[in-house]
Order: sequence, then structure tokens, then C-alpha cells
Amino acid sequence: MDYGGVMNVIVCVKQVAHIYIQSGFDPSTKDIVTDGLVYRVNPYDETAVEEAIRIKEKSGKGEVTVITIGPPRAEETLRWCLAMGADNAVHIVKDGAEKQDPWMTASILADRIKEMEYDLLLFGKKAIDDEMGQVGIFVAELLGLPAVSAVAKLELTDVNKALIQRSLEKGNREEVDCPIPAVFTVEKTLNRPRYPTFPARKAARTKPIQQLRVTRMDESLSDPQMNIVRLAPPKLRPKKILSPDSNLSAAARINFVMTGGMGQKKGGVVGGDPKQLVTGIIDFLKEKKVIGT
Amino acid sequence: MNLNHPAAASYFGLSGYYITWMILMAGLSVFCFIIFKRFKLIRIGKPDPRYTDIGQRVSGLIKDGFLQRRQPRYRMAGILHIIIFWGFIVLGLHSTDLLISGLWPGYAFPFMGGLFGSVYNSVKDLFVLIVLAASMVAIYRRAVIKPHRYQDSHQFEAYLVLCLIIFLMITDMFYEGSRLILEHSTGGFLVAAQLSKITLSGASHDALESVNRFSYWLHILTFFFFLNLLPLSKHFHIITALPNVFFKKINRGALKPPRWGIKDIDQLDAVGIQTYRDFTWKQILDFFTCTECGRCTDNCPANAVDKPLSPKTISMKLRDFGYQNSPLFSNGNIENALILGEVIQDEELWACTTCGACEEECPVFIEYIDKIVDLRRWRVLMESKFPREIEQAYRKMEIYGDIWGMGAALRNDWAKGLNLKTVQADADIDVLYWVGCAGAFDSRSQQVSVSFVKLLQKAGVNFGILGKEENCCGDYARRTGNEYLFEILAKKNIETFHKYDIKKIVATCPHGYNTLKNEYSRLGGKFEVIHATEYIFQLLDENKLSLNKELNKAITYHDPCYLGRHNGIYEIPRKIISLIPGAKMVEPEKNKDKSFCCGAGGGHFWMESSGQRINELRTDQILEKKPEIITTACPYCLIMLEDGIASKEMKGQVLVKDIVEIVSEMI
Ligand code: SF4
Ligand code: SF4
Repeated sequence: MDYGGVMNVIVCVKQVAHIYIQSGFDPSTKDIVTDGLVYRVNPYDETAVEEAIRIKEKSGKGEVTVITIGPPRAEETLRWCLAMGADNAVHIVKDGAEKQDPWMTASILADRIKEMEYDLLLFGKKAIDDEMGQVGIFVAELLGLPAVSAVAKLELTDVNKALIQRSLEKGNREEVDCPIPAVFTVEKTLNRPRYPTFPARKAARTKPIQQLRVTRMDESLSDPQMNIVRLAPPKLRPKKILSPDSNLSAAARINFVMTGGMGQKKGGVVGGDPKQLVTGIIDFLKEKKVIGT
Repeated sequence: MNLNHPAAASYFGLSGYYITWMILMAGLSVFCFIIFKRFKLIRIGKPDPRYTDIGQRVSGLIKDGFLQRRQPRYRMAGILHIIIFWGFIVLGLHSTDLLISGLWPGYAFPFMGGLFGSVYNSVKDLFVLIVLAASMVAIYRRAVIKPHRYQDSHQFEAYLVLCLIIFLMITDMFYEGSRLILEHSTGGFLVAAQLSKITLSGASHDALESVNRFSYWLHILTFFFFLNLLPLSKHFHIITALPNVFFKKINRGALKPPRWGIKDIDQLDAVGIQTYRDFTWKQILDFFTCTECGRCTDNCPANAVDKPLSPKTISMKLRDFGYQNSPLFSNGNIENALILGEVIQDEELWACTTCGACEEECPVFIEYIDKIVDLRRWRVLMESKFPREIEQAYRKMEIYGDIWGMGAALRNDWAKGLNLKTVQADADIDVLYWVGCAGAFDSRSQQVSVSFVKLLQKAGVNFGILGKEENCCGDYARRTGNEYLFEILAKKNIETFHKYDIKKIVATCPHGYNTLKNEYSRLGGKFEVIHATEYIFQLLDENKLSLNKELNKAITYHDPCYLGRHNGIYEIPRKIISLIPGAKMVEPEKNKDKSFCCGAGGGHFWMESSGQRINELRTDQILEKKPEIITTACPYCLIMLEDGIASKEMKGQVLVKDIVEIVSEMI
């Protein structure tokens, strides 16, 4: 598909702490305990980066820029995005001690973004650590842009318009038209992020990352709009790894473990021409001993 | 009366000696030309240092090359092959002698005159008959018995070569027989010649002379035809097998590095095999050497459950492809010809469990695992094209440090209440227990870890664990081709080992054991690694542990590939079982180096499989001997076999246990 013009996409990403549920809540910082945490790119943001790269690859023009706000370790997240294929990375370095609510984060981001050139702003629908899902929408507000949340399908129909499917509850979808530039926050179902190749990862390690600093004195840092009273860790799902049903195969057993103790429905999809479809289904039924061989 | 040599006569006005020279020159130049072409193909390969351990190589050459140690693993075929192999050595000398005698009037090998000559002549004549018989039996086997493993091999070539051998033997017999009659010699112990004498008796002098000359020239011509056929066919192994055995892989447990001679993967721009140029010279020599005997495929577990993988076919395809793309009379484009997706399909690549059965069986020591992993490396690292489940596992390993995706925070949960030392608290230990991801996170394997700890505590060993700082060893990443991730994981672990000054490590998981022992040293790891079974045996030997209770049960032992074939530990687990009072050992038919993979290796534990499952097949094999307890020494084998038993609905009737558990119950 030809988008007719250059598509510059900015993606805002967050480094999240995973399985924070294990490390507990620290009353003094009113935050999760950081000791022994595991960090990763927020999976929703990873989907946004993937989408941006696909848009660039299709149009053949334009650049993908990723921005993050976070402590020095957040650089790893940017490197991962660069390895995926982002062209530029901006790291707004923030000291860990300074607590920041979504509105503050959005105002820092908006302050930087308004000085950049872009056609599209992508965010993940939410971060899997605090699950707030507000920053993207606030940025749109601050920049005066239209915003669409929970984007499950994105099609750029011409130079300045996007056709979008939003996911609603119970699997329903809503189709909307949106002029661009705009802010979209994306669902994980939008695409399957690539696993970066070795040369890309190697190259990403030495790509330049633009570093900026925020301090409390920074004008752009507006006052918090939210006051956290208490963070409560969710109930631990698989407390001990349950012994999976012994009748499961090793693969199913692993699925079981990986999904945290819930057996996943196993299924397959048969494809091909009608003849292959029929043999596929018959083979399946035979394998499951529904019909005799 | 001495007979004139056939070359002494003149043919169409041309002296026979000239003719011999012409045949020799023509035969040798064509041969050199073909060999040169083949050599050029080998030369495009990447380096591979195979010049170390000369002593071991020479002894391997003698035992596995000249004494053909692996041949009798298939009894009948092996015996036939040994006969033909030794026949070639003995008779090759004779054919050369015949040839040289036709170059100059009156010339013969100097040592052929004396006692050696007459002994040699009797022996070689006996061999003529034996080889003749062996070749006929070989033809019979191929044509009538049709062993399954020859399916898809180049049958015509095989028959052609067997016929040529027979022809060489017959011409030799008639040459010698007619000579004996013409010389009025009794011939002594020349059995083959005597036999042909009978058929020739009564022929006229002239006829005998024609027979004599005719069989001489035919013999020489066939000899050269045969010689030139070798590098053009699967019979190239007659020339390349001995070098291939000499250059065999010495450290079986360690995978080949992405490139020999580099310290770390960052020095490379590309990793893996995409075109012929990416093979090492030894890998190309392997293709030349494959005899198409099919022993590898016959033992391949993936092949046994009808997966689209046949190691033999891989060698054949890559050899044929190599020859096609470097034709004799033009240059070809071998260097850039694509292999992945063209010659070798992805389904083949991903079906291999890296069990090593093929390599164990191959009489000429052809290697498969390194090639398959090299091909996977290209797919994973250069193209990011690989099965979905693997990607999930990679992400989990990199982010959480284990495939289970549980993370360091949960890593120690299994050890709660065991009063275990972690190195962070006290690094003054004699041995570090490497728990491994399965041992830490899989509920079944956790029981093994607990048993092992109890056993070490009972023996009074001063040991500790890395606790939250233990990371995935990287076996899975490495064997599925993600060398980059492997290096990240391995370097992290090595750093931790060195940080706590670890000198000795004991592992219950053979995968961790193999990786730490054989693969970390290249990245700078310096420590001793032993497997739990070795350590237990040592403790029993030193009387720090003793097996007191009785176990009156039939016990069998399943050899894990990474303990057995990859590291040669076969006897120790069996010795431990034999020390259990009352235990009755029953061996499955496929045991020790012939053991059949449980189906989990090479990343398969984490991959979906369809169709018949390898673990169920293995369970059937083991159950044939009606054991009451199946033991093994690997967490993955344990789970796979337990699944196998469950699928047979025999849970409770037959127990599956790790040897560690059995020992800890018996003390
Ligand atoms: S290593 Fe095992 S699975 Fe792989 S090709 Fe060889 S025999 Fe087959
Ligand atoms: S690789 Fe070895 S075992 Fe397999 S067919 Fe070739 S020679 Fe035989």
C-alpha cells in the first residue's frame, strides 16, 4: 500500500517491572519493592513499535522514533526497540526517587514531542505494571490531537486518514475513521512483534540515543493530578506450580505451567484446499480417537 | 617355462607396455582432475581445527578405521563390509603389482619374489574368493532382503560397484588360472586360481593365451574405471572414509562454535549456514564420505515417528547438490547457492532432538548435530524465522532467566525448609549444586532436587546453591540456534561462578551438566563439573553413603542422551543400581550408546509435536522388558517417560524415578 507521503511515527514506550507481584509493596515509597525485579519492554508498547515499523516498511519512507522516560536502566528498552528496527531513540532520564503520575509523564512527553516532526503517535493501550492506560490520551489532550484507544486494526487509507477497528468488550469491534496526525493507543492483538535478528541487535547496541534530563525544576513538569494512597499487590496466581494433570502431554504440561496453572484449550487450524481440509479434519478425529482408523 | 607377460605382446602394432602406460596416464589424469575438483569444493569451506589430539586420532583411525569397530553393530552387513574392506587392502596391492608389471619388461615388486610373495599370493588368492562371495551376498541382500535402511539410497551405484568388484575378482582368477596352466605350474595354495584352472582345463594354448591377455587388460581397465568412479559416486568413501575417521569430532558434548577461532559472537556479521560456503571443510568432507548405508536414519527417533527428517537424506541431498553446483567441466555457482529452504526444509531442521544416535551409529563418523544447529542459527539469528513456541521461550529466558518465565524471585521456593546454604550467605563450600531450571521450577523435578539435597546433607557434604543468581544454562537457546542468547546467559553464569570463586559444580540435569562442562570453557569458564550420578557413586565408594534398604523390584535404566552418548556416562548409573540390595536390573533392548531419545532434547521439550510421540515409542520399548521401576537421570527424560506411562494408562503400576530419588530412598 502506498501512503503517498512520508510517515514519521513516534512511539512512546515504557520499561516495566514484571512479576512485581513477587516482591511486595514498600510503604515508605508507596511503590513496589524494586529488589530482584525483572524488567522488560511493556508488551503493548512493543506492539506499537512493531506497528510503526510495519508502517514505515510499507511506505518505504519516514522514520520511527521511540521515546521513553525512565531511569538509566530504561536504555535497555530503547535498545530493544532499536533492534526491532526503530531509527531514533530519545531517553528522558529521570531519577528513580521522583514519583510521577500519568499527567506529569504526559506533560513531559508532550513538551518534547511538540518540537518534533511526526505524522502519527503510537502508545501501548496500557502498561502491564500499573495498568493505568492514561498517558497516551493525556498527550493527545496536551497536543490537541485526536485520539483513539484500544486499536486492534489500523489501516492508513490515504495521506491523512486512518481506518481503525477498536476492540470493545466481549470481542465486539468498533470501526472508526480518524484524521492524522493523531494519537493511537494499541491492543496487543494488533500484531505479533518481531524477534530481532542478531545483526540488528548488535547494531542497536552502538546506535546513538539522545539523552535528555528532567528535574523538578523543569517547567514542563506540571503538578501531579493523582495521589497514590496505597498499592496492593494482586493475589499471587500460581503460588506453587501445580502438578499438571498427568494425562497431559509434555507440551500441554508446559502450556499449563506457562499460563500459570490454567490449562489452555488446545486447538489447531487446518488449511488448504477442500481436499486437504477434509483430510485434516479426519486426521484430527482419528488422532483424538473420535473415529476409528 | 615362463609365460610372456601380456604387456610384452604387441597389439595392432603397438607394444603392450605403451598401452599400459597410456591407460595409466589417462586413468590417473582423469582421476587427479576429478579429485582436484572435489578438493576445490572442500576448499570453499570455513576453517575447522582438527589437528589436535593426534594420539587419540591415530588410535581412532586404527580402531574405527582399519579395524572397522562400528561395522558389526549391524552384524551381517558389518561382517560383509569388513571382508570387502580388508579384501580391498590386500587386493589393491595385487592390482597395483599387476599394473606395474606391465610398465617395464621384467619389472615386479621387489618383495614379491621371496617368502613374503608366496605367502601374500596365497592370502590374496583366498581373499579373491572371499570377496567374491561377500559381494554376491551383498547383492543378494540388496536385491532380495532389501533392508529398509537402503531405501532412497543410490541403488544403481551400489549394484554397479558390487558388479565391478566381482568383475575384478573374476578377471584376476582367470588371469592367474590361465597363467598357471600355461606355465605348467601346480600353483600351490592359490585357491582361486586353481578353481579357474578347472574351468580352463582342456583349452588350447592359443585360447589360454588370449584368456590370459584378455583378463589382464580387462582387469587393468576395470581397475581404472573403478578408481574414477569413486569420486563420482557414494563410493568416494573408499578414499575419504579413513581421513574422515581421523578428523572425527573429539569433544562430542560441545556444539561447534558459530565460527572457529573467534572469541565471541560479536566478531561475526553473519552466523549460521545459508549457502555451501558457510559449511566448514570437514562438513563438506562428511558429505563426500556418506556411504548411504542408512544406519543413521535407522536410529533417528524423529524418523521413527515419521517426522520429515532423515539424516542420511540430508547428507545425500547436500552432496548431490554440491556436485551439481560445482560441475566437473564448468565453474558452477556453488558458493552462493541457497541451501535453506531449497535443499533442506525447515521441517527437517526443527525435527531433530540432537540426540546423537545418528552420529553414534555412523561407521564413518559423520556429524549431524552441528550442521543442523548451524542451519538453525541462520534461521534464528539472521532471519528470525522459527517456530512460535521457541520465540516465547527465548523471551522468557532473556527476561526472566528461565524458560518457565517464573523469574529469580521464585527460584528458591523449592528449597524452602531444607536449610540450604546459598553462596550469597556463605561462599565457603566444597561443591556447588547446580539445580537447573527444571529442578527449580518443575514440580516433578523439584522432588529430585529435594532428594539430592537430602542425600548430600546425609553424606555431610559442604555444599551450597546459587539461589536467585542461578540463571538458565542456555542449553535450549544454544541447541535451537540462538547462540547470541546463549552467550548472554552463559557469560552471566560464568561471571557468577567466578564471583563466588566456585571450583566444583555438581548438576542433576544432564543438559546443564553438559553445557557447563563442555561449553562454558570456550567462554572463559574455569571449574570442574560432574554429574549427580558420578558424585553419588563417589560418595558410595568413599562410604559416606550406603544403600541399606532392600528393593526387590525389576529396575530398568533409560540412558539420557546428554549423559550417555554426549558424555560417555553409561556404567556409573548401572553400578549404582547394582549396589541396591535386591534390585534386579533389566535392560531395554536399546540401551547405552544405542539408547533411544525420550523426545525432549534439542528444544523439543518446549515444542508442540503432532503425530506419534517419541516418548510414547520409547516407553513401549522400555515396557517390553516389564520393569516395575523405570529409572533415569534427567529431569526431561523423567517427565517424558512419566507422560509415556500415563498415556499407556499404567500410572501407579510402573514407577518412573530419577536415580537420585531411588538412592535417597535407599539410604
Ligand atoms: S541427532 Fe537424533 S534426532 Fe537429530 S538427526 Fe541425529 S538421530 Fe535424528
Ligand atoms: S551418514 Fe553415516 S550412517 Fe548415515 S548413511 Fe551416511 S555413512 Fe551411513
